[in-house]
This record gives sequence, structure tokens and C-alpha cells, in this order.
Amino acid sequence: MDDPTSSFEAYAATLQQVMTDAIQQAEALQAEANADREAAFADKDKMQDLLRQLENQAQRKAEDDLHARYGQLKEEMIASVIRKLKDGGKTEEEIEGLRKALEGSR
Amino acid sequence: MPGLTSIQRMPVPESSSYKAIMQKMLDDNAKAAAAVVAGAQKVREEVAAEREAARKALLETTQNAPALAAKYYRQHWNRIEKDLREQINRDLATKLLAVSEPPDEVAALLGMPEAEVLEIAQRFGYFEMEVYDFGIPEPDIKWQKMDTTYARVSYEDQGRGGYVIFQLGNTICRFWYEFGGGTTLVFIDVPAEAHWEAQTKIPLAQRDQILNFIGQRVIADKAPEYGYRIEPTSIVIFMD
Repeated sequence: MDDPTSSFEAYAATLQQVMTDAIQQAEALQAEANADREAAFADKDKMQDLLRQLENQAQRKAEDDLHARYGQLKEEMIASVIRKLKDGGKTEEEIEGLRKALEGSR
Repeated sequence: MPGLTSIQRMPVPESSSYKAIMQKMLDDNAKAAAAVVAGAQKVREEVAAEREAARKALLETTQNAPALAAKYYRQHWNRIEKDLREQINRDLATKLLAVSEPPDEVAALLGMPEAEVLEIAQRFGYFEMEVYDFGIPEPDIKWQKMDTTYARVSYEDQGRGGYVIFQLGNTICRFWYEFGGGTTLVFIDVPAEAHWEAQTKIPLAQRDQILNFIGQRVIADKAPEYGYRIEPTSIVIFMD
């Protein structure tokens, strides 16, 4: 390369070329960064979609399973009340009346 | 022009000085160019790290999907089961209140806060905090708090008489009543002090309070224009 200080033209051309090369290189790096950023966003979206899907499936399954267990759960809770009534000294007749009330539909 | 004048007055440097100035400008320019590239490179590396982190997170999430699904299932199960238990509890509380179980007993039986049971009792009219008139039918069961225990008065009519039924917690007392004549509307027979505890199973110390409670309740429920007085063996409802 010619001595850039040998003339104003060479000097100006060198200044411009150095900065042009730098900007070109920076733009190339920026383009790579943009591509990576897009890829990162895509991976994050995929992860969020997967988490949402897992959570929705889990929620539906829990709802279905507990819906199936509702009757049993209610029976267990009534049995617990009946035990407490017995421990509390209620008569069999009183307990039977309360059991019927508890088991009846509202 | 002042600017031109000043340029014209600037001293002309030697050729070697020109070279030195140009070289410095070239060096500065090269440094600025390098800074531009370095800045871009730094951003590039940060984003690359971000992408790698996102890739790893996705990979880990995919690999841990079964464990995550199990964790979510447990969380939702716990939440829904808690909601269901509360819903069943409220249903059972309503049924127990409907068959005259006192609110505090209901709360203890179901392990519910007493305030929640009271809220249900009020909603269905089984508990009266204060006098109100919403134009809705009065329920038969209406608890009020007497000291620390729930109490209520109900009625069993049998023609010219019947029973005033007083319930204090789980203790139930039935007092016969008959219609009177003249200014007396009703006599409610109550045990004399000497027989109170034997007949009611309630401490004598509470007798006055209970008789006043019954008198006030009867006036409020059945005879708003009347008054009451307590006699040794009766509560008399009379024209005030």
C-alpha cells in the first residue's frame, strides 16, 4: 500500500477505507447477532409453548381425576364428620339423622 | 469574512509536520474503526451467549418434560382438591345448619372458620346478626349468639297452646305455652328457680338471661305490639 501520508488523496482514501471496512465488519457482526437473537427468541417461544402445553395437559388431567374422585372425597369428609359426632357423644339415632341430612342432595 | 481571515493568518507547517499530523489522524481513525468493530463484536458475543442459554433451556425443558408435567399435575391437583374440599365443606355446613346444628358446632365438625359458617348461616337465614326486613320469608331456624354459645327459639303450635322450644348449643328445652285472656296474650311455662337446673340441664346463673332472650325473641317473632315480663314460673306476653 502506498504511504497514506504521501498525498492528501492517499490520506483521505485511507481514512475512508479503514472506516468503511470497520463499518462493514460491524454490520456483518450485527447481522450474525440478529440471526442469533431470532434463534434465541424462537427457542424461548418453543420452551414457553412446551411449558404451556405441559401445564394445560396437567391441569386437565388433575381436573378429570379429581372430578372422578369427587364422590369418594365427599364420602370421606362425611365419614370424618360422623366420627367426630360419635366422639362428641351423639346418640346413634341422632347420628343417623345427621348422616341422612349430610348424604342427601341439597 | 472572519474565518477566512483567520485561515489566511494560520502559519503553514513544515512538510514533516504535515506527515506527523496525518499519521496521528490515521492512528486515531484506526482506533475509532477498531472501537466500532469491538462494540459490534461485544454485542455479537452477548447475543451468542443469550442464544446458547435459550438453546440449553429448551433442551433441559424438553428433557425434563415428564418431571415438569408431574410437578404441574401435583400443583393443580392440590389447588383443585382444596377448592373441592371447601366446596363440599360449605355444602355440608349448609345441610347441618338446616337440621339445627349450631354454627359453632358445624365449624368444629368441619374444621371451618366460624366466621365462614356464620356467613353461610346468615345467607340462608339461619343466623340473625341484627333486626332486618328484606321482605323474604322468615326461616324457622334463626340462631343468635348468647355470650359464647348460639341460641335460638322455635315454636310448635298445637291449637290453643304448644311449645316454645329453646335451644342453647346442643341443649334443647321445650316450654309449654297457652293463650291467655284480657291483656295477656300468652303464658309460657318455665321451671321455677328450684327446678331449673334439673329440668333444663342449664346452670341457674343463666336462667334470667335465657328467659329474657326467649321473651325478646317471642315478641320479635310473634307479637311485635306486645311486651313481656318474667314471673316465678312463666314468661307472660301481654298487651304493652
